[in-house]
Amino acid sequence: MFHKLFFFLIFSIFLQMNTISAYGELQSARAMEIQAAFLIKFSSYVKWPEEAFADARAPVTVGIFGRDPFGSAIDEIARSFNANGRNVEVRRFKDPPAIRQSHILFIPASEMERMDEITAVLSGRSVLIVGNSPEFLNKSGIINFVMVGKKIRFNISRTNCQKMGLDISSKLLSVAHKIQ
Amino acid sequence: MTFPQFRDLSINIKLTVIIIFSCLLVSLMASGFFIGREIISFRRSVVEDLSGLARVIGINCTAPLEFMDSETADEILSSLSARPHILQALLFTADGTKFSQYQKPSLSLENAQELRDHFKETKLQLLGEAHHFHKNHMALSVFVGKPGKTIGTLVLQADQSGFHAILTRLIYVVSGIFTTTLLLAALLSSLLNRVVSRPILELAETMERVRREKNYSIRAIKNSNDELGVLVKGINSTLDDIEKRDEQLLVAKKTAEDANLAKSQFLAQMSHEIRTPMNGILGIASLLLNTSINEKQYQFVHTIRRSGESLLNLINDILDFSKIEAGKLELELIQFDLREIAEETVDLLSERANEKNLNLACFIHSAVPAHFEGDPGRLRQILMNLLGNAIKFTNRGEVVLNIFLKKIEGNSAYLRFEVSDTGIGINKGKQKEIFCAFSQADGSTTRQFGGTGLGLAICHQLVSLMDGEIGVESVEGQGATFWFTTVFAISSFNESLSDRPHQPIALQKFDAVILVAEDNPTNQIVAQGLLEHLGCRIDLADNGKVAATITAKKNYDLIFMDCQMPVMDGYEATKQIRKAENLAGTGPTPIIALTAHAMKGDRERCLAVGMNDFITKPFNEQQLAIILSKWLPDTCIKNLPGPPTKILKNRATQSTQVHIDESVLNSFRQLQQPGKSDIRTELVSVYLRSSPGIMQSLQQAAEKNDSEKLWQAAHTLKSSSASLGARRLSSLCHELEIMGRETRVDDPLQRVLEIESEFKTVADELERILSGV
Repeated sequence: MFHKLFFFLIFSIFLQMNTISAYGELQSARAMEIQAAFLIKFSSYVKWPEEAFADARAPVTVGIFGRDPFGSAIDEIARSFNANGRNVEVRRFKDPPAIRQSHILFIPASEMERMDEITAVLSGRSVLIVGNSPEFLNKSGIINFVMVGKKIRFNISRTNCQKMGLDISSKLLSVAHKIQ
Repeated sequence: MTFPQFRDLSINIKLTVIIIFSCLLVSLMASGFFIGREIISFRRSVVEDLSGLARVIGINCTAPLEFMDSETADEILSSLSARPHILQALLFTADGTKFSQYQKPSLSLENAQELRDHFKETKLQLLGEAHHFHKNHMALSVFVGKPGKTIGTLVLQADQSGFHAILTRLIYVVSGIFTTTLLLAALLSSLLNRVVSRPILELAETMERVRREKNYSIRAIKNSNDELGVLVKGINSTLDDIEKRDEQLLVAKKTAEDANLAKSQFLAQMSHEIRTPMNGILGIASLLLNTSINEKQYQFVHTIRRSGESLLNLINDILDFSKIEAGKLELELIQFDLREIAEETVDLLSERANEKNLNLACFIHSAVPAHFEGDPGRLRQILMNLLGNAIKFTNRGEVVLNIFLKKIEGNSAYLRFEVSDTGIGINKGKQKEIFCAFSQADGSTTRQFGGTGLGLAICHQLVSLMDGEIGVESVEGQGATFWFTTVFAISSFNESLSDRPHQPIALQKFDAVILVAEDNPTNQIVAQGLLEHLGCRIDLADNGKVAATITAKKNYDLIFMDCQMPVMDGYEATKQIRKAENLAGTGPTPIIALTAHAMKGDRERCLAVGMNDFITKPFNEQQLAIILSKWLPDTCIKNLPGPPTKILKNRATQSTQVHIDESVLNSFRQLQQPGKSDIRTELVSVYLRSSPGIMQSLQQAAEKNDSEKLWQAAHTLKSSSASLGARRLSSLCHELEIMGRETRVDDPLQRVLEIESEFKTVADELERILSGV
């Protein structure tokens, strides 16, 4: 009896580890919560061009394109956050033209096929494009969440960043898993 | 207390101690402050340094913390290995979970444990921005994140052994400062010593010298114009004042002494001046008494002489008192026989006692030694005074002198004399006063009894000089007992000074040629009269020069020399006479000074110039006779009396009035043993039984003209008679004895008859006295 229980335990741990390491696990509710927090926190490590804001007090707009994977948790995090003197507001966009108003734009895995359209719309704007899909950085993404072991980390593409006219803090770069 | 108190230490040591103490105190405080400041500033810099580091690390850790990148955080923290003093770093998230940790690789397990304990103890991560020092290390915590948005806490723990090294170094430095301070203080105090204490010490030494040498001419040396200079100046001027005052005092003292000397000389002079006329009065009165005068005239002259004698006594009292007051009275130290002194005194006063019909007795306790060394003259004076007073103030009863031995200590005998009377007594309140000068028990006493009131004061002083005390016990109306104590050295010289046979001087005659050098005509007459009465042939010289001239031409058996004479005084004349004698090789003629000086020093002066003896004016016949018998060669002394003179007859008649001196008889009472038969009765009966046999042998010897047997019998009767107080009988026997010894008895039968008749009277008298008892 004990024997069976022990095996079950080992098995379940193995199973869990397996699920977390997978990309699919990146989409889990817990992982999305952490990504939401990270997404908001990025606002203080990125420097936008001055014309990106209406004035000095204007909020940083975090846009979520398409289907919202965060839910209301991200609004909670944003409400108490302050990015270098600016408030953070979370907006959800369905249509590509509206995304031009955002400073940080999260592209969920479900909207990946519209990446080219998004890139086109955003041309001429300085928007930090964040996602959590494979090959995201190759498709003009700037920061991509990845699963390293059981931890959520992110990779940064400095090339894409420069293309967007954004300046990412070296601190952020220092904690990045990989930099392209 | 072996250790001297700080205030008694030398000013030098005090200054040194104060300087060193204050220097040490200052350097201690300075060092304390310095060390404290060093510690504080070191710690502050350590804290600043560490917190700066922590902030940098914290900022670097912000992103890893925010993005939960512990690897990066570890990496950042591990960069602290470049700072070897950082032992441990801990990064906590905002909720207190340990996020990242760094530990110095070389850290021992023990140290790590200690650090953990310390960390737990302080709970720094909860306190936020803080630091804490612990034995060998310190801990510091800072917030990580932006102001107002703390995302974690960073705790650094750093090694502090560097601090201890610094502390040790500081202690070395402070010790160095202390040593230097001590050396400097010693140097400073030696400098101060030169400037401050040395002048003070010198001043103190100077004052000590002044005090020790009593030399007020010493001055302190002034080296500066500060307070010490003022002090020195003040002391010097005080010394000036003292010196000046001393000089003035010396002058004043000299003046006072001169004045005192002048006073003494005045007293001596006065005494001389008064004594010279007194000599005339008393001498002439004596001469007059020797002439054929009737009874009434005799009474008058006798009164003159008595008055003169009282006056002389008064003058003597006043002189004595002056001398005592001036501290000039000094006691002589010569041998004397106490019994003789006492008996003489009693004898001298017996006449007065008889006149008042008083019993006068003297008892000397058998334990009292006979011979002493002291001043018999002064002792006699005291006794005379006390006995005289007793007789004066007693109208009925008796006056008794008792002499006791209190104790003998070594060679000193402590004697107590008591003079008891049955007179008027003295009021208790007055008993102390009477020993003061010019005081009598009652002012009225002077009027009633006369006297200067100096007698007891003089006695008091004399007794004090003899190391004794004087006092009185009395009940008013019931008589008084005056007592005094003296201390005399017991004389080992047993032979009495009066070894010369006691002869009734009045019975002696002198066959001598005598020169009297005397300028005063009255005194010339007195001396001439008295000496001629004693059988001498007299030449007179008016002054010393005449005396010296005469002596060169004529030999004298004796010279009386007045000391103060015009032209040449007695001292000079004596010197010249002695010189001439030396040249001529003739034996020295006895020269007797006649002086009115009663002051001490006269005697010495007289003896110094070569005189042999000394007689003070006024003198009487008896005094002259004593001198003559002392100094004339025996060939000049004629004990054979010439035809009985009137004065002798007078005396004889006077003395026959009293055949028995009862006081002598009464003195045996003292020997009376209780319960035995009356000792006097026994003595008298023995005397009366034995005497007729002696009388018989006297008669036989007289008939046979056997002078040998005559004087032996007379001697026996003389002694036994004297011991019973039959004085006249005794003296009659004594005369016969002397004549018998010299085998020149004229008319022995007549003398024996005289003795026989006196003996009968004495026998009757004795029986009468005894039956009256």
